Amino acid sequence: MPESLDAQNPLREGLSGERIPAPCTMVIFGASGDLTKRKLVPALYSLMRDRQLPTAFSVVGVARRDIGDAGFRAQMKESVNQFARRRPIEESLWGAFEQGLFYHQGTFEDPATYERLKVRLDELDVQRGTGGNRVYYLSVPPDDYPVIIKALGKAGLINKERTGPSTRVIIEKPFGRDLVSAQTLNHDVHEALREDQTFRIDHYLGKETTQNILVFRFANGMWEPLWNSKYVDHVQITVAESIGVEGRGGYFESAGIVRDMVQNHLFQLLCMMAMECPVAFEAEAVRDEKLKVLRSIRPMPKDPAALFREVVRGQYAPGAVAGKEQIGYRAEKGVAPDSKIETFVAMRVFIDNWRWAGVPFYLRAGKALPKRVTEIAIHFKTPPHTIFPGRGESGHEPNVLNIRIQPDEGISLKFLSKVPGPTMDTVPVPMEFRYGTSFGAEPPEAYERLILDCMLGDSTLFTRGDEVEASWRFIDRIEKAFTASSPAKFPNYAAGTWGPEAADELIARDGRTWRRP
Amino acid sequence: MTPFSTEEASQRTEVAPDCIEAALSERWRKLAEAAALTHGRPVTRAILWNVILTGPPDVTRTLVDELVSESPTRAIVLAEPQEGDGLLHAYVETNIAKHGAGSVGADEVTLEVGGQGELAKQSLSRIPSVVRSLLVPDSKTALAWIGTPPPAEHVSRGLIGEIDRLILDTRRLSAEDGERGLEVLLALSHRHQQLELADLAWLGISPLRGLCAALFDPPCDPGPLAELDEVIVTSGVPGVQARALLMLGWLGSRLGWKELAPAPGEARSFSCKREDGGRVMLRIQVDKHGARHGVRRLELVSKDRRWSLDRDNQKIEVHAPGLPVRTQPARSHTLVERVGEALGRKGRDRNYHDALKFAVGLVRAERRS
Repeated sequence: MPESLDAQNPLREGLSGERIPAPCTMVIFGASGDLTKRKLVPALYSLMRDRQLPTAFSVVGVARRDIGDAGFRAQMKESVNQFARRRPIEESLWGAFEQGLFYHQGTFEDPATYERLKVRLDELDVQRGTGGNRVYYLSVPPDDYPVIIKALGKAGLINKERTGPSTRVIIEKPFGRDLVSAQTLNHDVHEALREDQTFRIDHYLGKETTQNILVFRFANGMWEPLWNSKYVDHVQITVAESIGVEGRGGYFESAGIVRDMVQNHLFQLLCMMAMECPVAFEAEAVRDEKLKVLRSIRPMPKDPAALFREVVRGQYAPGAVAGKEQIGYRAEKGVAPDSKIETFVAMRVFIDNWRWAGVPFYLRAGKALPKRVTEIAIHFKTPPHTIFPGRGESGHEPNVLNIRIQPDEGISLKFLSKVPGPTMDTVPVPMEFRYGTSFGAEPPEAYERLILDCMLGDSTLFTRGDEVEASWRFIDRIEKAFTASSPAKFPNYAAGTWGPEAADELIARDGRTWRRP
Repeated sequence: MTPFSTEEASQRTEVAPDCIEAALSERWRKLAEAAALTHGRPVTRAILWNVILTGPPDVTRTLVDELVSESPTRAIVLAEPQEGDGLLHAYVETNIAKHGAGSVGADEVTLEVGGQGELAKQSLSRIPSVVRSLLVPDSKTALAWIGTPPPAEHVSRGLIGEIDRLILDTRRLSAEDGERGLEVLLALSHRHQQLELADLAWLGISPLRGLCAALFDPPCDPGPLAELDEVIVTSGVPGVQARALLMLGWLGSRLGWKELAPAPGEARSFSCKREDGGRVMLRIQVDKHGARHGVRRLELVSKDRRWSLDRDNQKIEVHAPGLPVRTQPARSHTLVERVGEALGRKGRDRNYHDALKFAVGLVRAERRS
């Protein structure tokens, strides 16, 4: 725990595993939005149910509509009932929880909103014993981030000092839409906040399985010796969604899959998979190592023809996903009928450092693919010589270590085994670890972990400003190439398939194939 | 033998005691065959712990059936029904729980010796050797005394030197031992230094301990903890006050209280010396009207300030000077949830030994008086 309570409170000794943060108020900007309803308040309720919230805690929702405390509580109750991890809600728990829910009406541009908010928060500190500690959650469109942060600063709602009540700000993705905008936003943020008060959230980092990559790699002695170019042939990282853009067409038209998934989620997985062992499991140490990975990714070629040999884009046409009809991207609400925006991307990247020199990382992300799955598959080199050639299905199949991030979270290792019988036939068999079967207990939602970490002041699982800039630096060249050259044939894959044929060709040029997740 | 379904796998089958492992392997092979025939997903055989259990047969059976969902274990149940032929009987079954798209299964072995007499004694003496042969390597071993801990001569006591964790519930200490059972437990832990004690009574007061500590987290001042004048624990249950004693034991060991002495003329009251040399009074009260919890109310008093935690079946109310009353959720836990916790991180709490030692000090002080 960064703020050691053990040192100050003798009763805390041995209880630090409980991770209970100091009293605080969480102010959610964008309280009427989907994220608040689907994720944030249900996560807070679950934390309360698991007794992980401080005893003195309040939530203040800020939004434009005038619904009052009672209206906000009623809306949130409905949301928790619909989206909480454990449903239905327990009335007695809800009763206690809703006493700490408040609503503040105002527009984000109006300075009066913040003046009144300050008065309200000061009153709540007295009433609820929250001690002036604040977490501001910006669940708003990206254009509002600098507006709110500046206004909070002007209204005296941010304590930038290291002494006194704490102020922390959680900023949702996307953090910028290119390098320049990310740098500008970082500048605005740092005008008002220290970096360690800034929590750029990427919910993939809150997933148990993502965190387990570090445990798997660095708490076990057997993998690290193999985790390099000497033994690894290549790595495939897949972030696949079975749904289309589902009403987010307007947003997606300005983003595309590279901005929406690759710059953040996929690159964070790449970092966790490829990073060196940090000196400690601490925020700066972990993020330093992730940054080194991002800085080591070989930039895409400047020449567009060469770049498009490394990157393939796609857009889904009508089709069927798991038997259900799926309209094409261009027919989605808010999408231009001749849209050139990509809903699929596959690329080959190299990490130019000592460990990974020459090992291709094949990354792909897409919408309307056959199934929702996120995984990292490490394909090991085959033995230099096999003494069982042509025996059975696969005399020469590589070992594959597959880290499944979602769903069916777990890790499997594929290896060859002898088929029982008088011959030496071999067959690949999986050795599996699954969260569900090994731990039984349902893992917490990513937002629960991340909100709790923020309240505790632990930014290990959040993205640092320089990481964001490093990833945009790489992505910018791809985005510029996409903008400069229209795709020849869009849409180019049917919904419910694994992307365009060109993606298969990209990997086939290296004599490899995509894994079927 | 034909492949069989998960329903069939859940059936209890008697096998020869020296063929238990083979019988289990055969079951798993048949389950895999059945999955292959139906193109289904095979049941994953999972063993995180070896757990040896004693206790009332109906309770232990239900517990083991449900435990597969909490923490898949190889459960070895030791049963001693009153009636029987005095021979050692072994039964195997497989407990299966659905998990997402797949299923997980765990082994259950029951070793049963019924009846009295020399033959039964001989059969019982063979049990430790059977248990040893069944322990899965690379998985830790727990002994779970469900219900009242068995007497000193019980066959499970002979296995304590070979186990990693002892799970028990000090609320269920035998009538003849009473609270002295805590002394027996402390002595046991001194004799077996490697033994981790997971006391379900202690796990039950874990939320109260967390909330009590939270009363003195920043921005609140922890200073009054060093100057407490009085601590009152109100219990909602009669009889053995394990939870109340452990709560006082936790506070006493954490705050460095010494020189325990019974308070003259007052039942269940003690005085001890604080680190600053002052005295603190400790009181255990029993109030049977209301929620039946071993610690229904905890009050800390320092000068004119008073902090308290009040628990009912659904919530804990937190009272602290100058702050509004706050509420935290509370609920009753099932036995399987508690045992699941005991097999997890909470089952090796380094505070427990210190709290137990202090609690034993209270029991001894009271006896001296």
